[in-house]
Amino acid sequence: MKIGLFLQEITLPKKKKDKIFYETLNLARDNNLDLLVFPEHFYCPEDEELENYAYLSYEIEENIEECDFDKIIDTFKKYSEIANCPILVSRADKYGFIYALYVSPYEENIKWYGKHIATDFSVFDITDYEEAVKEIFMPIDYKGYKIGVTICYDSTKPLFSRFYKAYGDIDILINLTGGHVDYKKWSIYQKARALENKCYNLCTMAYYDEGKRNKSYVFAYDGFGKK
Amino acid sequence: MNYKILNKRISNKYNNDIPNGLYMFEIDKKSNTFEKFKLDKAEDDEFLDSNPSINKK
Repeated sequence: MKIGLFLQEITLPKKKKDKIFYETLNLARDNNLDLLVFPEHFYCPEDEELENYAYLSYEIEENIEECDFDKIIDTFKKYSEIANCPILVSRADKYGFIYALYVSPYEENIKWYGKHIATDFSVFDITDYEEAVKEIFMPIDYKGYKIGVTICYDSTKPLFSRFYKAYGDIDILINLTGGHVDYKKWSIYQKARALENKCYNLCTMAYYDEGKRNKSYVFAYDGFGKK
Repeated sequence: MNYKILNKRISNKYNNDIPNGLYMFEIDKKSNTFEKFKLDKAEDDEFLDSNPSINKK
């Protein structure tokens, strides 16, 4: 399975970012990638619209705000069609809830994940978490591979990766991180998740702040912890 | 693990921090096979069996 990890630079002007974004989708298509992975808080040309969408339904001062789930999916589906393969993306919605989505151009199956820790609005806070948890940790079943997804700091705690095993062994774990991390710490977190789950562990992130001292990286380990 | 950067000229040295790099990894689960953790092995732990009378009448 060919997996593309995009180490996205999002501090550039919009015009340049848009150009690189579409070039990346086209590269995925031209190289027959099976899956294209973007970082947490990834940039896309419809960034401003997505900022105003609610991923969940929210109750605000006794009013229910319906979620914009379908609009979000339509946007990402369009990108996956250009890439001609499923994409894995992560963003915050208008209330700060951080989600990851797996969207495929040729199947209706959608996988979602909500960030648990190091966030203002944790998926732990949703009212039906006890039910939702069954979906959150259901692996993607794709081309004979079981794939688990986590977001950023959730990869620093074994629980959130290990919980995918409730559905049996998994083959690949993918972590979507914001970026600008301590190399030593983050590489060890990723390696540990690969070793303890005996599976591949992949991670990508973004450059989102020119003033940050730490850099951003892609990481990949096999189940033996080999880089 | 082997990788290719699809949109950049690649140097031979390991480089995993190129902004806007699209890194491609070829994953083959057949090369990643080994014994999975067997949790029932804990039953063979000598200390678990050391005193069978504990908590038993």
